[in-house]
Amino acid sequence: MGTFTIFDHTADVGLEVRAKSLEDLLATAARATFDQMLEDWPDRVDAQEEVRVVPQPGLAGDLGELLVVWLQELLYRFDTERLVPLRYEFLSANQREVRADVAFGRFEAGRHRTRLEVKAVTYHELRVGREADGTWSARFILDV
Amino acid sequence: MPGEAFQGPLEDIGGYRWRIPKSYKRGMRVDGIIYADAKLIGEIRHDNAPEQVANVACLPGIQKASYAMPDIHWGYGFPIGGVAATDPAEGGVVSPGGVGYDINCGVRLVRSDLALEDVQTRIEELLTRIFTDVPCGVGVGGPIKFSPAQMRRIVSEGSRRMLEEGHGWDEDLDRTEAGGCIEGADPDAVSKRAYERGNDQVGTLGAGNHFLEVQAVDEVYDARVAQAFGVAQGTIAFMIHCGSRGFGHQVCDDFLKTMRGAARRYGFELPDEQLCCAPVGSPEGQRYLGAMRAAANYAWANRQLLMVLVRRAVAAVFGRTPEALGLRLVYDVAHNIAKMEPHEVDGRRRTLCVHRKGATRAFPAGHAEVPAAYREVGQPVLIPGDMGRYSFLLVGREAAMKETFGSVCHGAGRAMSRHEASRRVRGDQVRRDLAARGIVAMARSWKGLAEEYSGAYKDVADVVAVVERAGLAHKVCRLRPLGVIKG
Repeated sequence: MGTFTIFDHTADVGLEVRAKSLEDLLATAARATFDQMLEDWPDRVDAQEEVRVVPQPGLAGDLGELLVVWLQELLYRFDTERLVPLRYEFLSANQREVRADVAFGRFEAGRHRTRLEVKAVTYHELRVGREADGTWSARFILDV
Repeated sequence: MPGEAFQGPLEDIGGYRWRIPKSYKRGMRVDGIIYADAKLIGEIRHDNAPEQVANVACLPGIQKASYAMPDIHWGYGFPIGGVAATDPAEGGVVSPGGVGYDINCGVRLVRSDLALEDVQTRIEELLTRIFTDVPCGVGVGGPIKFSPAQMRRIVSEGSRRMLEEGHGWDEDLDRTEAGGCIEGADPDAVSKRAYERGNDQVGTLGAGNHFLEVQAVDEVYDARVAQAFGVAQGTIAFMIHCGSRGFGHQVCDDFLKTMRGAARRYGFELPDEQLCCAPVGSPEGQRYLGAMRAAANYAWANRQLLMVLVRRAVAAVFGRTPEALGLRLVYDVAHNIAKMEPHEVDGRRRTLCVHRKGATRAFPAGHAEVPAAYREVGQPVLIPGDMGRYSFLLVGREAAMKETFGSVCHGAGRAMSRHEASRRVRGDQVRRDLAARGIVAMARSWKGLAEEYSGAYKDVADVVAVVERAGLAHKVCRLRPLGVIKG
């Protein structure tokens, strides 16, 4: 698993993620995002589902868009099914699509302590790329 | 970037107004105007939010100026605390970023006949009851799960739908901006995902900076207007700050995608991706406005149901009906919204698309959209502060209509990031500090509470003083918190 740090944004939360691969970057970005929402994580797997996202037409190849739709998909599953992603097995991760088998735990209000409500992943100053040393990095801001 | 102080020009043009001339940056079509005093402008410059004011000035069809209120702070694309009006007849655009993710985030104030002494000794009991009855916090659903058909009616009819379901009084609609329903909502422009995210969140507070407060009217500045609004010194009021929940967030997400593509197709050169937009009259623009109105109506239905839950909780504690306790709505205002409104520009009346991103509508006396009961005094303007100090009730004035498309500030504005706040204080410490000042706080998340602590915000009294001195609005009374609920 990669690493993440929080950077200051006046009203919202900025996250900077570093990882050794694109797959690792996506998993770490999800971990960082849900870490802003939860103090306690579910400790068992309640559902195993395949998650597939593709950038919208016209934005294929845009890694920033790929990261945003990936996180949006996971936030949608939390909002509608209270599912928290715990582990990932990536089947494919490239500029055109992300496909992963995700092990989810179910959030239970009252049992799991919470923190912030993440409304969205913004496009503001969004950056995803590969560094000269081969590591992957992403920088994004959550609207909370 | 925040943290990198704004290096551009900020000209003091007097009257608490600071100008960023349109010569500052390539692409600016109008000046930027920021309302502030010498103290606030320093903080604003430090936050670099003026850069975002200048960016908004680049929007096609923008009229007069890109305005910013004294509570302005760094946002994404638009600054929080910004007002921008575009003219569709001059290629004016609508931008989802100019509304934000929390479409029709807003504030509602309920007055009561309860006196401070009735509540002070029972605040713990009262707050516990409200905290139990009003769903709040991350991942907490509402009291009712609505069917797809009901959802379509809610987003088409807003507060009115709640009334028809038995939640509220007829007069509530009259005391809500736009009657709690903007015409022109298009339920078909809303994605299935938005409906799925929103179907169990009507009547939920959420988390973050949303709150519910029990407040005491502790200072009245204008007795005549206060009387018209039904508020009196030493009485209790209830303030609710919330928006369109996951429904609105999804609508914004969906249309940012559409608009990113549209902005490229229309050949707009924008300094920030998050400012993406389309002409108001274009298919993309019309579809966004239809979906945004649906989300705005959802938010009004949400605040209506939240208020009804509060009324019932208060009634249960005091053993009297909400009517007998005089739990009447003073007003409900939106502060994240885009509306088509008639305004005068260069001596001509035009219909403009007014974006208020962290700004409150503040119409003056005599305006047709001010409820009949308040028409002689003007529209109530609700300005929440932070949970440790106070909030304000203002009234709109003519100068706002002339200058800022009838808009003023929306709150205190953050002075410190959440991260910095959580480095400085802990939730239990914040709760004890509040208790020492006679304020009871309840929260689903103590960390969330810490990030919202008083010191993380500007002093709202400074913000309100600027809009008052600039002539945009007039102070009516101050409200002091006795009890605070956070998600």
